[in-house]
Amino acid sequence: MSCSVDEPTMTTAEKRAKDRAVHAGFCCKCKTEKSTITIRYAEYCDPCFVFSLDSKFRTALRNARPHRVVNPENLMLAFSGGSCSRSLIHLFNVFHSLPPEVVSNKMHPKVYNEIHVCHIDESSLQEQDQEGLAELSTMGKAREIAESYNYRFHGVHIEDIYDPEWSDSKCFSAVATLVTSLPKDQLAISGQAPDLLSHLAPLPAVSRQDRITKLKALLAACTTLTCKETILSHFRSSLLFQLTKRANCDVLVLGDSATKVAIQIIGLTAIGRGFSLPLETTAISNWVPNCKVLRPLKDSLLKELDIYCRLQNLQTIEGHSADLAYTVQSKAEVKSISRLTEEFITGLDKDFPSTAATVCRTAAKLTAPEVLYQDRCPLCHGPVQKGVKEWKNRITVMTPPNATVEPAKPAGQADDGCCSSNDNSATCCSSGPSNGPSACSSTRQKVDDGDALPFSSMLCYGCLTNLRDLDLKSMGNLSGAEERSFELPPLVAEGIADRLGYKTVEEALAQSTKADPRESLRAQIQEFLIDDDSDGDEEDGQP
Amino acid sequence: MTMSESLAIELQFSGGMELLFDNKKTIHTKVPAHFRQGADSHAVTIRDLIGWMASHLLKERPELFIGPDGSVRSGILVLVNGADWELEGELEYELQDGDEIVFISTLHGG
Repeated sequence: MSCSVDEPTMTTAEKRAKDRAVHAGFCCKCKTEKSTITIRYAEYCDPCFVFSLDSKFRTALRNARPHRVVNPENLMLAFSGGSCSRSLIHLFNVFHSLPPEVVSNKMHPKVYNEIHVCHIDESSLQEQDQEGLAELSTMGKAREIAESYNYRFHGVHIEDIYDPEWSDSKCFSAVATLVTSLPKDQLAISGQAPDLLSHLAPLPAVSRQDRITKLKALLAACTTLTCKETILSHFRSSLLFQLTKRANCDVLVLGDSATKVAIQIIGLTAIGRGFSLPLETTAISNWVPNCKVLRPLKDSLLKELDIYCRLQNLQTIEGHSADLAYTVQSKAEVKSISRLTEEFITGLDKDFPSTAATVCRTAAKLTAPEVLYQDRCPLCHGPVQKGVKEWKNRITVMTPPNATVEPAKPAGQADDGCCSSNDNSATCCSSGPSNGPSACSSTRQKVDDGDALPFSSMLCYGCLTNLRDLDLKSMGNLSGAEERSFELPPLVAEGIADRLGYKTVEEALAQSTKADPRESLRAQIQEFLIDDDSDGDEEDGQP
Repeated sequence: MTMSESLAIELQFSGGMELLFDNKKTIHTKVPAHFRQGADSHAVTIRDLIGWMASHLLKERPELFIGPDGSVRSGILVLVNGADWELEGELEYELQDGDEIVFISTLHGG
């Protein structure tokens, strides 16, 4: 056996290891400087690290745009205040800072036209009184950072989700309230998850404080931190899309790092959002019409971006994301699925630095579902699979097999003509002032058809699962007497109306509030009606 | 070198870590140069520093800073004089006078 035979049998990994051993302690790129940073076993010196991160970013951008840029697009950078989006702004600035001879060259048109920066201020959700809020506000700092790059800044508060101005049509002044299809006393024993139905109610102009109260009321109705975080993230992304569209931008750029995407992949799968997972994690997503989503930092680890911020002296905004832990009631709720997943991924990443990249690469093989945007979920605006509710009911066991309680009888079949024969029936039957005591179930059957709009049947699987954590006691039921403690924002109400084919808020409201058909009839023929009093007046006035 | 000798260390916190340390971004402190372990003593390492910080400087929620193995919680980056601590021997790095140790949290906290 000759000596040379050994050489070719070395694997690439072994060669790299040997290479590294030779240059141990030195940068793997320049091999002359002492290494200061280690990223996934590779050691870099500071300048080489900055250069490699910049190249990675440029590669990601190049892959996302056509070979020849004919119409430069407008970009909206989503800036939360954290190290990822802070790096994103700086990297774009470096990318666009061309030498003057290139800028004046007409043969090389600009790749991107305008760059805008947007920020969602979530400080109102912090545990603070009114005076402390102004101090916590992150809007000013975000504006300062964006303007230091001469980028146009757009800011919005998270509670503005309750502002009709931020609905898709900019004027959908209605909110949605939820009702359960079963009376409260039957919820626990019914043996199946209650249907959620919705009512639309007009939303008068509300002050900022009222919006905060409304948002907090909704979060208070969620019994788990996971539910709160998920709902907030839907609102956040809805606002980001609105900001992007309103600034006439074609592309929304998110600063999601590989670590964040890996956490999302596992976390979203765990909460039942696997169907829309490709849309929420791919480098380019085209789900929302006329608004592409780009994640150019998807190949960079959180560690890289944190170090980049430090090396470039980039100021981040502390406390930029609302910590909702204070809102939870018991110690057991302090963890949410995303928090646990974060710990899981970072824990694994400590010993196996390829974890995040491996998870991302695996999920990158998923393809986006072929669903029309029109059939989106009213809550998360994601794609909906058909028949999720039936499927969920089929596979869910709500009562133990040897349960002694009888499953609830369908409405109208109860023994005594009321919703249930137990002692609590009084609560149910005393519902509406106009309903007679024995008319409960029949009334319910009637309103089931006309009054309420569907809700849970329109949701995607992820939202349907998530809303199981809503406190059912905080909703009314169809008999209508109970207090409803929260409202869903105009954007959700608009989503419901949109799916049902109502074009305007008036049409949707008319449909939703036709509880008493006589009232709407009366409204229609109002001008032809002769008022009793005026009758009298006229008679009196006649000689 | 006497046992009472101490080292001047600069500690920096960012990414939310400062919230655990009385909202201070930089702390100049003196740590004992030697730590006693049983009968013998050894020069102070980062492992000792982390334990010392947890008992002397940490204001709240130690579970967000220190892990069960005496190291920092996963997701916290440590830089020693601007270099990744993985290159400096991690927990076994012996502190020198005037060292700058940076703790960056990459977690959302809680």
